[in-house]
Amino acid sequence: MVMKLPKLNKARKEKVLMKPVVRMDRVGVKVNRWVVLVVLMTILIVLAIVTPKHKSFDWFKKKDLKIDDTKTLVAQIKQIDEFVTAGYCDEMVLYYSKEGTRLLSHGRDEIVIVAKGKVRAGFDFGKVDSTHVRASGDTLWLVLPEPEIFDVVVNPSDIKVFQQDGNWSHNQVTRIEKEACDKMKERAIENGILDKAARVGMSRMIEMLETLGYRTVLISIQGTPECPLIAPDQMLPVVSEILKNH
Amino acid sequence: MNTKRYSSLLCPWRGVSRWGWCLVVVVLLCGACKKHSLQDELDGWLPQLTEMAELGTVEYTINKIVSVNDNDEWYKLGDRMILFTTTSYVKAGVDMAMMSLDKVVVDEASRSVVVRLPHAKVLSFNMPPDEVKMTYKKISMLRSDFDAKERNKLLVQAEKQIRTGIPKMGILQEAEENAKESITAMLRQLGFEKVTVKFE
Repeated sequence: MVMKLPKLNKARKEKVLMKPVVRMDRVGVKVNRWVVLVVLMTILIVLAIVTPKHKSFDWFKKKDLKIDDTKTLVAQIKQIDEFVTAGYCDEMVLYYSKEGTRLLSHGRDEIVIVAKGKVRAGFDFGKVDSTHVRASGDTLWLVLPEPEIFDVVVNPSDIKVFQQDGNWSHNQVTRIEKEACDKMKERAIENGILDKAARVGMSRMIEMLETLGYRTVLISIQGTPECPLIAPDQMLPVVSEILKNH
Repeated sequence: MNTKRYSSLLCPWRGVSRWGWCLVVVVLLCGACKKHSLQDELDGWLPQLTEMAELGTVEYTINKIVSVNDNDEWYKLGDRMILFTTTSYVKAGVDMAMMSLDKVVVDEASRSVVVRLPHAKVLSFNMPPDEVKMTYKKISMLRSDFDAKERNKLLVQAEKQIRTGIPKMGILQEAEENAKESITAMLRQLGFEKVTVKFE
């Protein structure tokens, strides 16, 4: 059986004959420039999403430096007797600027540091000796030292360098961080950490001493107007707002 | 003559403008990505004053040298190294807030007392910024200096290493022994003859 090809009209025949199938000077496919652009952008976006997650492309990432594994040495061991009764948590932002140090730069060098920290306050029982305690029957007199701030804790993990432009030396950054610690301590005192430490400390001591069987507990803080520095046997029994008397 | 080609030579910006607009769109899209803001850092953190009841009985002073030598990769030419000495203070003791006063047993007849305390724990870890000293730095001409962010990251790693090693130092056992000694002395001063301190 012989297959007959469809008959082409004259115009169509000319068009088919004239149309170049392959041109050796350039690719004979005529493609719209916008289509090429869209395809390229799609490929780039897909690569941008996929490559960071794929392990083979890790070498594109900037690796974090690792410190050497050096020994940790205990330089001193000290016995302490700190009764911490109040804590203050705070966070602050520190912004500093100085004359520009970069070449070809007309702007100022700036640094922004976010620091979080904790302040701990309470009583140092190491300062309490036999002259500060007196028991008589079921009555106890106790003179506590003044509450003090023991620590202002701002560690490297609590510090974040949010923005840095220009060169900032280690000493300059350390001074800024030290200032954060000092400001945090001031804020803690302004917010009443020492009063809170005193009230909570006295309250806890009274609870514990009552558990031990004392029915009357008289506590005062050294140096306060209610209790000048006098010997316990001359101590007046009027002291604290937390005083309880069965 | 190919008039279209000739016109593109005379007016090259005609062909470039479409590509230029595409580049502008891509740059704007990249710039529209959400950046980490200072507000994100500060959200969820409010200053607060809290009550505590921690009896700290031992303090360890710990020294550590932090060293970094950044020349592991073949393409990094020149030296880039830094050395810090750090001092940290670790305090351990007993958290009296976890102690129940019901567990204090007093026998007035024999003037004896049994006190049950919770086990000791690390109460505070402090690496003050002024105790971190940069003792050596060497940066070659072809390398960049360590910036503040990088230095902070190195110190965070040092802090982590010290914290990991704390339990092996025996600080908790020492804290319990000191707590026992301290409380026994205090209770003897209050008139008790026999004092027993237990940890549970």
